[in-house]
Order: sequence, then C-alpha cells, then structure tokens
Amino acid sequence: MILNNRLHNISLNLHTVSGVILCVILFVIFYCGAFALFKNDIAAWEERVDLQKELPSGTNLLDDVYHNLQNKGNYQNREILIFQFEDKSNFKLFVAGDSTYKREFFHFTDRLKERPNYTSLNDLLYHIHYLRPIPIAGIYIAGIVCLLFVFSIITGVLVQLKKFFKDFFLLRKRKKRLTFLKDSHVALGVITLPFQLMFAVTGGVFCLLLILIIPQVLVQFNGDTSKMEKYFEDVPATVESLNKPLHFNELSSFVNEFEMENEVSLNYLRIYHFGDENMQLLMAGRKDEVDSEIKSLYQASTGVLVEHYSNEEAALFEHVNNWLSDLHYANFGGVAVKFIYFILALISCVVFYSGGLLWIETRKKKLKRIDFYFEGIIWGLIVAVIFSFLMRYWVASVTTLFYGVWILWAVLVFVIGGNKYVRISKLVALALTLIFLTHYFLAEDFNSIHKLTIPFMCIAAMVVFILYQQTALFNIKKTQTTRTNKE
Amino acid sequence: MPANKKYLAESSGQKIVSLFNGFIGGYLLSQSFHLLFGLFFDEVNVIVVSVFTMMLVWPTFMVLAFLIKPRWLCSLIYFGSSFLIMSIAYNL
Repeated sequence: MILNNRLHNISLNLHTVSGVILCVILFVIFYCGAFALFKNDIAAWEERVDLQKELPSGTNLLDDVYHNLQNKGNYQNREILIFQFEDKSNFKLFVAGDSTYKREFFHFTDRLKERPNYTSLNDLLYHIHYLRPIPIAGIYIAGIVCLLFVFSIITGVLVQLKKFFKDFFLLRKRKKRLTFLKDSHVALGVITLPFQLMFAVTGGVFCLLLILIIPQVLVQFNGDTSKMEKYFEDVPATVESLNKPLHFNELSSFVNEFEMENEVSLNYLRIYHFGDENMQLLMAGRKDEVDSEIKSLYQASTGVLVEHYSNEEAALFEHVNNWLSDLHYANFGGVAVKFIYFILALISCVVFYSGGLLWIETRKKKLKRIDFYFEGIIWGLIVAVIFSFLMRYWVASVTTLFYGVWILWAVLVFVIGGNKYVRISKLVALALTLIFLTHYFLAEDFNSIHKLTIPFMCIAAMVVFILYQQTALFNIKKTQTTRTNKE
Repeated sequence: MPANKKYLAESSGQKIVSLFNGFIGGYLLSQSFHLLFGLFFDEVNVIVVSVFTMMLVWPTFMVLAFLIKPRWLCSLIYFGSSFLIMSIAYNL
C-alpha cells in the first residue's frame, strides 16, 4: 500500500490529539462508571448504613409507596413510572408532566421518607459518569466524548494495523519507562478494544440519540415527528380515565402474580390514570439474559390481563434499546458479568492513564508541569472515591466532601510533586481502602453475593492501579531512567 | 515517537477544513447514507438501526476526512454526494 507510511503517521497524529483531549475525561467517566455498575448494591449498602440495621428479606413496600402517593394527593389521573431496586427497599418514581403539572421525580427509601434527590454516593458516582454535574451541556459533552472516543479507537487500530499481533505480545518491561508505557498501552488497548468500542457506541447513543436520528426522521416523515414518536413510546393505556376514584390495595400482589406467571423479575411498573376507576398497570419484566423483556398490561379494578407482549412481538426499537442498555449496564448473566465488566473498565482506565503518560513523557521538556495536572486529577479522583466510601459511614451526604477531597488532592500535587506524590497517593488510597474494608467486614454479615461487590470493587481498583504503578516505578529504579522530579 | 511532520497538514487552516469536513460533512454523509438505505428498506427500521450505526459510520468518515488527500476533493465528495442523496431521498 502506497499510503502506508502516510496512513500510519496521520492516524498516529489524530490518535495522539484526540487521545490527549480525551484521556483525563475518559478516565473519570470509566472510573466512576465502573463503580456505577454496582449502583444498586451501593444503594442497598447506603440504606443499611443509614438504617443501622438490615431489612427483613422479602419485604415488599410497593403498597406503602402507593398509599404514600395517594395521601399526598395531586397525583390523581396522572401517569407514574416506578423503578424498583433489586432489594425491593428503594424506589424511584417519575410522575409524567402535562399542561397543568410539572414533571416530578422522587426517590423513596424503605422508611418512606422522601430522600433529597441526588445526594447519595451511588447517585453521585452515576451522575459524574455522564458528566451531569456540568450544568446543561454535561450530557452533550459526554456524547461528544463518546464520538471522539470511537474516532480515537479507529485511529488507534489504524496505527497498529501493520503489527497488530506482533506488538500485542510485546512487553519490554525492563528497558525504559517509555517503552514499557507504550507496550502496555498497546497490549491492554487491544485486550479491551471490543469492550471500549461497545461502550463508546452505546454511551454515545444514550447521550446523542436525538442528534443521531432527527434529520432522517424529518426527511422520512416530511417534518412530522409525531409519526415517529409512536414507535418510541411505551405500550399505551387502552382506556380513557373515568374521573372516579378507586379504592385499590393490592399493587404488590399484581407484581407478584406477574413475576410468578412469567418467571421474570420486575423491571419497571407504569401506572396509567393513577387512582382512577380505569387505572391500568403496565409491568415490564426481564430474565437474566440480554434482550429478554416482556410486558403485561393489567386492568387494576378487575385484575384482568388486558394485553401481553412477549419478547418476539416487541418492535425493532425495543430490541435495539434492550440490547444497547443491557450491554451498557451489564444487565445479563448476573454478578459475574459485572465483575468482568468492572475489571475491564479498570484496565481501560489504565490504558487512558498510560496513554496520557506517553504523551507527557515525550513532551516533558517543552511542557513543564503538565503531568502535575494529569496526575493530580487522576489520583485525586481515586482518593476521593475511596474516601467518600469510608466517610459514608458517618456523613449522609458526601457530595461536597467528594469534590472537596478531589480538588484538595489535585492541588496537593503542586506542593509535593512528581513521583513522591504518586507514591503518597498510592499509600493513602491503600490505607483508606484497608480502613474501609475493616469497617465493612465488621459491620456486615455476608449472606448474599451482593454484599461482596463493594469489597471486590475497592480491592480490584487498588490492585489494578498499584500493580500498574509499581511496575512502572520498578522500571525506573532498575534502569535509572529518571522521571524528573521537579522539586 | 511523535508522528512524522512530513505527512501532516501544514497550516491550521487546512486542519480546520479537515475537521469541518469530518464533523459536518461526515455527519451529513452518514445521515444521507441511512436515507439511501431507507429507500430500499422499511424507513422506521432503518432509523432505529441507525441510532447505533451512526455512532460507527460518522467517526469513520471523520477519520477518512483527514486521509483523503486533496481537501477540496474531500469536501466535494462529502457535501456533493450527501446533497445528491438527500435530494433524491426527499423527493421520492
């Protein structure tokens, strides 16, 4: 190929430029996203911490949630969407808005107290995952990041095209820091390539859905978007509301019946015409597989099954949506798949980290202190996450603490600087992890696998990073290739 | 190991043109690609599938915009063909 040299150099340049823009932001997204994979387990743990006791298993508080809503008033006849957490003690409720009412959102805990929104640690990590704390533009920035991430992956593959397999098996550990970084970047990058591509595509779809399809919708339907909307909507109610109140008491028995009959677990519950004579309940359940959602529509007053939608009958959009979200959230195959996802996400973080270091290492002379910002943000995040996990035992809302520690630790790099900073961060993170784990193991009794996820996460995060750092530093000691300490 | 300067765009103007081609032209071209498929298959299905194929096709065109050598040719191909396909798809 005549283009070969040109192709290699241009794609290397593109990969470098896009990589430098992305590496820190992707690190943050992947690190928080890895923890957010176990969002439900963290939420359940936070509940246990807040309550100081464990909930009796099998309690179903759905009925209480229903009564609570009914007593609040103001929700008659409206559409309500309920998400139930795995341990059935946490509920998320979305109340649809219309011309007279605004859209609303609640988070119910088992105490049936409304929790202030977005203060818990699991929410915080999940929101940082898609850059929600940046006002208005956050999710679009995340979308653009996904787009550039695909771009970066494509150019990265093009760079390695000639020696894809040869370089994959190459790890010159004891030569120079630069070669070690490069070899590990390539090898780990190739290992996580399909995983990263999957996340880039699915994440981009979630963030940029409208931008991706709107021109086609406008052209195909001559500007009439309402024709498309019906394909994206959920199963609608089959009857109109009667404006007569209904005394209803058995929401949880409906759910139990639905779960027993179809051998699924409830995914979400949509209530049409809340509290009305013609109230209808749409339940969606899923098995532990990819794309296995089924739906049933019940009439609440009579208990009749109005319609049932099996997975085969679902529209193509449902299938695509199920596949994308199941792949992204690791909703299939149980906890084991989430463990694998978590490890792969951490390895992806290492890829971004080594990529950033590579760029810094080659331009260190020109750009002084650039690695301080890089190391500061990354180690600040690692320390802040484990610190807020620990502090969650004593503080109910860790948001301020989290950002405070992150910023402080990032600033600290200018005080300490260089290798010493990395070593100290490593030690502090390790110490915090150990204290947290001791606390955790003393407080919990391990009767389900879900209680092992949090220690697993903390240990895995530490092991991956410290192992990587240790190897990189070991190199320096052995070969005396100095990474200038700018003190 | 930075890339060899010989093969890269010389001025920042050229870089901006390439970026514009890739970002805007690539977007239009990938959209019109899907419109073209919409002529032969069910439109709704094509739109639904396009939510994730767009995420693959658009960045690919972005990369190609930097690789196609004369930049005006790249602009011509991207914008010309997308407007051609769009006008066909819109009028049918």
